[in-house]
Amino acid sequence: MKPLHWTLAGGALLAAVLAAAAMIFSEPAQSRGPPTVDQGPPYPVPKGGYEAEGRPEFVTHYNLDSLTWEAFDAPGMPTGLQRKLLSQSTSMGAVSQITHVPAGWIQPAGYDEVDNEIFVLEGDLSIGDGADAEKLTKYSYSYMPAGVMRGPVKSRQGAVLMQWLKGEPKFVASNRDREGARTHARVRDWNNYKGPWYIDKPFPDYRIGGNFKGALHKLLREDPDTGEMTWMSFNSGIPAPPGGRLGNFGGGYEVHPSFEEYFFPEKSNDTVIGECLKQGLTPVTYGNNTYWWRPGGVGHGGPLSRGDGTAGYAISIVRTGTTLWATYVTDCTYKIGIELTADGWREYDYDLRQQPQG
Amino acid sequence: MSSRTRLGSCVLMCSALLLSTVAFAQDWKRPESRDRSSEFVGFVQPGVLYERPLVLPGLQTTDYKQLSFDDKTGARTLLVELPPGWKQPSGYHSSDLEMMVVEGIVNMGDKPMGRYSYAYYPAGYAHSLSTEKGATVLQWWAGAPDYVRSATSRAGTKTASAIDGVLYNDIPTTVPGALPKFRDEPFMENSPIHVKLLRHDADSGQMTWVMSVPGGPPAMSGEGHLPLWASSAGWMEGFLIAGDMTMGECLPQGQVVGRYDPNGYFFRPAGISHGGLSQSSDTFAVWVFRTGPGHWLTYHNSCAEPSAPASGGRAP
Repeated sequence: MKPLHWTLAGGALLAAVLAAAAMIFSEPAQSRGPPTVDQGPPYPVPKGGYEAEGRPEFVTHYNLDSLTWEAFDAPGMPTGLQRKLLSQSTSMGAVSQITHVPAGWIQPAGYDEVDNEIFVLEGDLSIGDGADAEKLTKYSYSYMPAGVMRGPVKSRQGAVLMQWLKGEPKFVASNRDREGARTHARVRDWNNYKGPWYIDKPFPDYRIGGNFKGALHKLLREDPDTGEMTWMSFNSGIPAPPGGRLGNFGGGYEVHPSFEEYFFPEKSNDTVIGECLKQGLTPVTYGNNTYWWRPGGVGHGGPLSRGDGTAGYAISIVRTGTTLWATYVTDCTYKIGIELTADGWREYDYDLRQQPQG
Repeated sequence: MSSRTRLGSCVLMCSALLLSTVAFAQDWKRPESRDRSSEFVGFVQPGVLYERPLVLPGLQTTDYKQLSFDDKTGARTLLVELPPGWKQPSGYHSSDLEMMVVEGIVNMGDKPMGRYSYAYYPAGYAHSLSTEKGATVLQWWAGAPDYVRSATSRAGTKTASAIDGVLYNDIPTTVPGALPKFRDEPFMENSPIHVKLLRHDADSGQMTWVMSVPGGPPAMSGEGHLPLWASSAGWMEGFLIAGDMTMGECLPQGQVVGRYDPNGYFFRPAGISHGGLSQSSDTFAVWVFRTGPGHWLTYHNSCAEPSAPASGGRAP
């Protein structure tokens, strides 16, 4: 065996040689200039707050099997709920979870101290009484801003929910709204089966060059104050070999200013996406019931992204902390941006993405 | 009858039977029980069809499954298994041939073309094909299949209309409203339906196109609230590339509902209504359609009702 110091010396020498080679062979810094059109979102890019630090790290669960049920108790909340915790913000206490509501569960009228969003995966849930009650069934959605009073919540046959709480959950029994509650932001009684999918409006334009042709949406919520969005998307594909056309990301990686949080209620096959994570470019596999939280600014796409060679479809439920916006880069260094122009994809200096030519 | 006579009769009968069987196997022109020129051929699942030998003089025999057949013209739609190493030297056919690769890779000329690549060879157009590892191709013949070996196209061939291999992803994706018009009702704005036009014959109006729709009933998947039934003044043919779709057909015996899974197939002669309350997809559907000359859709509220203009195609 070689002495340790020989190994260290050899390693240092190799590192020096590689560094020198990298200097010799690396492409000299080349300025491409700004984009032809401002590539930034039509709003100030957040530097902090929920959209930026809800979860600081990339989180993924391939499916729900590896997560265990635990009691979900919160101050003021009737007992009996169970949950599978998907992700949690250490700074804000916000959670994303699968919530099981047992048959016969009842919560009195009142409000949550934090924003509460629910998407019914299975079963039934009613909110309120009488003719005005929300009757939520599979793929129904309701958004209850903090402090907005609602009637009693009940489930007859039990329910499984995707649920997001934007802080430490706490329920207050009450027959009126909390002062200053954002009643104008309430979304109620939305259901997937009421209307068709669409590409553009009312879904916002989310990039320069037009929304993707193949990605269909249904907008559940775009917050009137913060721009936070919750939407569903539908994608399908057949395993045709690539042609000469670049894909939706121009062969590169997509970047959002906000986090992007996904859950697949339905996905018929697996997909791999290249993710620009701290440890480097990482292939991550997504399938049926995969959950993930991608922090803002993390590039995803690139040549590692692929299907599994079969035809398939996916229905997802997605959240962002701002109105959705996307820019594109050639790789995980975020130095070279690519913009979609009438003549195809064009490179520019990504740092100058909001300082267009002229 | 003496034993010698009985033996002779038996040999004669067995020989005749054997010979007729061989002739039968080689005669792929034999008429089919279901003639698409006169009746609906649908809910066909190739998985339950028998393979047959496709014998074309000058070419290596391949296996095929016959999806439909037209007794008047000899036209047919076949799902053909090309064995590894199969080659078609440059040559042409007496009738138009359209082709889509369903599995594997086919060299169209010297271009390797993978799944869902498409080609159109007008009658008389010289082309070569081969496959190294084998492939499954969907073939639409406009007449009886044949093969004439030739390095050049036949004189008078419409060579300009040939599509000698195009990759699926090189065909632009567009919205149904961008197709040559085939109904009065407008398509929904912002429609979730996507189409790729593979071929449009400007002379006859015949089209071949791919349509992708998300799951759900028509109102959810992009057709708005049209009347339930549609019929065409021309024939329609469909092969489900992926997904599923349940559909009703208004046939002489009444409404028949069935489900299409991948590779499911139909040929619908002109004037037969389809759709109905049952039409839906649990997942998604990607069809390759062919529509014949005169294709024009009209909508009506019931299976038996005569065609009438619809009130509009936009969802409320």
